[in-house]
Amino acid sequence: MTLNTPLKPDDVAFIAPGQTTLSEVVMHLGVPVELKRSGPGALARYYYTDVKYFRVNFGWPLGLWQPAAFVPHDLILGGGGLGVDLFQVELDQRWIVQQYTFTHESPAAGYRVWPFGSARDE
Amino acid sequence: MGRLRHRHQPHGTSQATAATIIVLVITVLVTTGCAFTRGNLGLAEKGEDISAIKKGRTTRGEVLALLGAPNHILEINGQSIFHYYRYDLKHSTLLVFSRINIASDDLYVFFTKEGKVGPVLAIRPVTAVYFRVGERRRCTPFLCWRLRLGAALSGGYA
Repeated sequence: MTLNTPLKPDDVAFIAPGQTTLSEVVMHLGVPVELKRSGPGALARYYYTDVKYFRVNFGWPLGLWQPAAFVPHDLILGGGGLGVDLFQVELDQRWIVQQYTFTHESPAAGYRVWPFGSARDE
Repeated sequence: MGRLRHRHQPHGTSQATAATIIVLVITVLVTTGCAFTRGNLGLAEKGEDISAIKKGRTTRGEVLALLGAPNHILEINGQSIFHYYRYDLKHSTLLVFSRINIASDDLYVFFTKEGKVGPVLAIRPVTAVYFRVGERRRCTPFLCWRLRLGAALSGGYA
């Protein structure tokens, strides 16, 4: 599952801190998902969320065999992850970009067949 | 002596019928196990309502009358901002593969200290949801062109 689309460094190369206005950012990237106050200025945030999930039911074929079909026979292995990419633009009181930053967490979304252990180990 | 009358049926007609049946059978077989659904959260603001909002003239009350109550009200840089949003979802399943794509659509209306409309941020992101199973593309050339045109026509940005 995805929510919105990811932004890449090439997409925001036009931004010149101290010069680019919020209107120019919006013209190129669209309206931000979130706009919030931050100190004397504001933050504009673009989110991209990716969720991946995978599962295999190794017991499913047993359902085709009558004696086993009437008893629980599922053997499911599955796993997934959720990752959020964030592009944040910091604006001053005149709505001029002061700086911007990326946070790339979307690789956390992945298909994991082996459900045991921690995703951090991979 | 009676003659047996044969109805004249050109070969082209029977071939076209057979081709139609084959295409239908293939379509049914290929699309079996597929599912396509869509949903949304909130109603999209009408283009005419947004274009009726005039910078420096429309009042807060008129915006409320046009667009209804905002989802959020923000206070940033001494300005009051109405935030409207909606989500569009499309889901597709092809046999055992399933994918859901959601796109947000945000609208910000800024107000001056006098209660008149300031800038309006109403450009849709350069994205759109459409049914897909594979990896997501940013947008097709046609879609990019359409969005840019829409952005150019909407006007009135910060």
